[in-house]
Amino acid sequence: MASVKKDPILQVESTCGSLLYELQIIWDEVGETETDRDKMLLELERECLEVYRRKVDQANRCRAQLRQAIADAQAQLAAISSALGERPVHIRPSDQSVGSLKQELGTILPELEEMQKRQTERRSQFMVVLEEIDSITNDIKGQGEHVQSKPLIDETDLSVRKLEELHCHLQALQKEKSDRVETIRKHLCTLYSHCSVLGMDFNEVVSQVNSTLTDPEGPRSLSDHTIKNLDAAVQKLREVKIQRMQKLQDLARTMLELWNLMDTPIEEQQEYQHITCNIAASEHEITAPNSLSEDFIKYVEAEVARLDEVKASKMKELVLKKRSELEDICRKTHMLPVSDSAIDQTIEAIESGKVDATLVLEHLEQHISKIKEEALSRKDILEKVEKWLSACDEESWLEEYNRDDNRYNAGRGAHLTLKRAEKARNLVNKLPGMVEALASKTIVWEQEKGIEFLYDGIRLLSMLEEYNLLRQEREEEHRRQRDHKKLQGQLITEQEALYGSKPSPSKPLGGKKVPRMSTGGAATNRRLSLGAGMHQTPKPNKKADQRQIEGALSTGRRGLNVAGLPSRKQSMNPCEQLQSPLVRKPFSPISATVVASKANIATPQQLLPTPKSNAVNEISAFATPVKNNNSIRNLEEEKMKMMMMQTPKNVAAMIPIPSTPATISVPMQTAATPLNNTNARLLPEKAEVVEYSFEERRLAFMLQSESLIHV
Amino acid sequence: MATFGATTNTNPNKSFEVTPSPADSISSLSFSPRADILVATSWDNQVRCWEISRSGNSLASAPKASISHDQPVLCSAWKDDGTAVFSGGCDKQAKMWPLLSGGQPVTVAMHDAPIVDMAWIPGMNLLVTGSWDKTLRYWDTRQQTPVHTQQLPDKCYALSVKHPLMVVGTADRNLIVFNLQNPQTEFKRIVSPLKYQTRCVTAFPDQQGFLVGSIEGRVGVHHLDDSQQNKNFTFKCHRDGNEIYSVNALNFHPVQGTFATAGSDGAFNFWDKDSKQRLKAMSRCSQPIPAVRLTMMGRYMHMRRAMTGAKVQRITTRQLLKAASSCTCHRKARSRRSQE
Repeated sequence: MASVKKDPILQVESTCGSLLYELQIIWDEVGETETDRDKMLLELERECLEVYRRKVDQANRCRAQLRQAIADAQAQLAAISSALGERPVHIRPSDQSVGSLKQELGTILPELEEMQKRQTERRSQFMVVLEEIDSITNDIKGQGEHVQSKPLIDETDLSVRKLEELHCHLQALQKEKSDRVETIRKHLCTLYSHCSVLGMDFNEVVSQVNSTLTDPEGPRSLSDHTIKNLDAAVQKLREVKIQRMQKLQDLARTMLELWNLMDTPIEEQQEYQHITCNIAASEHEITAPNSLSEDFIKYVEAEVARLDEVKASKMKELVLKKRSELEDICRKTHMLPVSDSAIDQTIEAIESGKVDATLVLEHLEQHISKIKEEALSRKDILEKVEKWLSACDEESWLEEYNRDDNRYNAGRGAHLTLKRAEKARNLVNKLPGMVEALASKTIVWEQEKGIEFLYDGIRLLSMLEEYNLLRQEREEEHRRQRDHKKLQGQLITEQEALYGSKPSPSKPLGGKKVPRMSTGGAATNRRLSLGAGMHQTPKPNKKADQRQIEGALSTGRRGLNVAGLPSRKQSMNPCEQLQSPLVRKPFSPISATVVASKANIATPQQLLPTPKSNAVNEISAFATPVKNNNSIRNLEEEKMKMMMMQTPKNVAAMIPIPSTPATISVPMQTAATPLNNTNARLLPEKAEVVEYSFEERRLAFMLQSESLIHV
Repeated sequence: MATFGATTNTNPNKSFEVTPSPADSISSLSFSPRADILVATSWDNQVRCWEISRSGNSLASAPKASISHDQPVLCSAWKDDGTAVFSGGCDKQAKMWPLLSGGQPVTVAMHDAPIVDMAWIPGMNLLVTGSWDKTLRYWDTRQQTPVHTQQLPDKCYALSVKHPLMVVGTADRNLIVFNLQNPQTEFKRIVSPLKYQTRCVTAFPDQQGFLVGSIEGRVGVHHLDDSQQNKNFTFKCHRDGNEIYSVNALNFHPVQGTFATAGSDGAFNFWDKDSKQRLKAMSRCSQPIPAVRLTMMGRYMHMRRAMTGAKVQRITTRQLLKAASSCTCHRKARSRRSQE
């Protein structure tokens, strides 16, 4: 069958037969032996078999390879489809092989290719997503320079589910990123507003947190670290802001208080209205730029300090006022004021800032109220004392009046004097009762209060006692005088009897002639006029003495007996008295000592006619040469400081007699300026010619020189 | 300084000197009522303006602007709102210089003779100028002609306004007091309590009277009310042994009621008229001080010095740390700070 089918094989077989035949012919011809021939033929057959076997082996190997390839492809296909998570289009179980192996391979290969294509597609999708994820993660983690490395793809799992998962992840990341961007933006906004409120440089603050944030265009760092830092910065600024706001509000409160205290006008307040309107504002309400900057706070602080100073000075004024009020009350109620030195000390303490003025003020007020209370309780007695004192005045007046022998002369106003005398007599009659009543009242008061009733520092009871003693003495005197008169009368009658003439009425012995109209003078010195013999009550200390002098100068109501000094002279600058040895009358010759002391510099007669210097108009202290003499200048400054603490009345006590400066170095004494030299020369002749001022002279000079230039 | 040799000291009190100095003597100074702006007029026909600023205890001055007249300028005055400054002098006219708006100066007043002194009357919005032509003229700055011309007995030498009080000092020692509510009639005319030519007058801040200074180194304190006549007195100042110098300027401290005098002896002193005390005497400079100006808040004092014929002028600004009661305030503030 094979020979029929395969012609070439038949040909090969015929060729083999013919070749065998040819071989037999050749053998025959050669005469080969039968064995040799058999041997040859066997060899031939064996070679043929070998060739066959080799071919079969080859074919077998080829089949095995084919099978292997198919298996490989199938395995690959399975792996890919499992990775992709989907079944291949048509896959058969491997044992269910249809057709030959080559057919099988032929069907499986395209499938594999298809799957591989899908795989690469999927992988690229993954790649895109993963890259994005990576970049976002990098952003979030904040590795500034993120490495552009290929993301690792898990080749075994490229399923759609995984892709979706990655997509979800990516979306989450994107959301987080946008969240972070938003957070940062918000933080930056807050930061910006804080900075503007606090007057700080926004860029500087931000660049301290992260340099990428300052660049509005470029990428910004989104890392946790940045956000944390940013948050911290915001917190810090907020704290600073709150702190400053509290400080400012404190200042504003202080300012309002000070305004209220001092009744500051509204215009002045207006300037700081924008500060005080924030007094109750909470932190987020303050948004005006620079409203909390350091400069601004300093500015407000300066204002508060200024107000404080003003307040302090006002307080001091108040304290001084209160003190004068206290003194006033004391003076009115004839009480001894609180020891001055204590108050002076407190005032000094206020000035040096050791003691709060308010405390002193309170203390003073308490004191005033106490004194007022006391004054109220004393009022009743004081009225009586006034009455008594005025009665005493009248009494002493009456006494003097009685001594005046011309009292009945009919002059002008004599009837008034008579009337007054009548009244005074009535009053004097009532005096003992008055004293009695006053004494009992005072005793009751003293018992009630447990303290002595002092009138200008002297116990009232002792005053009354003294008065009573005096009165008794005076009555004695009267009696004696009456006796004397009687005796004289007798003498006269005797003389009359002898000579028949009457001597003129004798003058009272040692009686000082008192002008009748000077009766008012008695009132100026009430206590001293209680009786001629009454001596000045010794004062407890020098201070009181001085006060008395002041009193005499200011009111003239009490104090020293000033009979020797005309009252007008009292009102003039008291330093005049202190300096009296140095005062030189105008036109009197200059004594050597006076020239040396230069206490009163005479106007040089050769330069100017000496103006008649009225001593009252001179402020001698002003003329004291103090220039270039530091010690004296310091003294003056000291004096000035003291001046401010004490009442101006004390000036008299404070102006020292100018000490003679040992050396007066006056640089300009010899080198007087030309202006003054010309003045000095021009002045004497000025009286006759038209008066010109310096400016007129200078202008005239200028015009003259100008015209000279033009000529 | 070369003209006076090395021994003279133009600034012995270590005051602050405003630079650059004008080329000739300064004739008047005024300080803006609203800002730290100083205006000085001088004999070199110029009106100059500086801004004075203070930081801590140090002062600084910055020259701002200047205008010029045809003749020497003698006087200056600020408008009360601080917008403009007036200046007048030997060119017989007064100019208004709107400094704040930076405008050009315009002539607002004319006289027949040089204008020696002027003042702005805030209550009436009028400028009053006094001149050697023996008149006072009141000017509305928008009109060409004076609102009112007041005849004076003699040449005007000085005037001072503290509304409604105006005091005018003229030659022949006349002092004329006006009540500006009725400027047409003289309120009072008195002969100066001083025996020599009136050099300067200044009204009390409380309008109760005035100070008058004469060329004889004497200042009179005069009260207007007859009941206060016993409080009048005069005192000597600016004298040095036999040398007697003119009192060139008087100026009250705006707050404390104390005042300063400046004299040709080159010294300026602070006084308190109520307690009759000299508060402070400053060291003498080598040249006369023609004027002194105590200014707002009492923070600075400006004074000018000049010397006729010589080209040496200085304006010095002095910070008043030790004047009157302000010194205690300062001291207190300082001690408190140190405690903190």
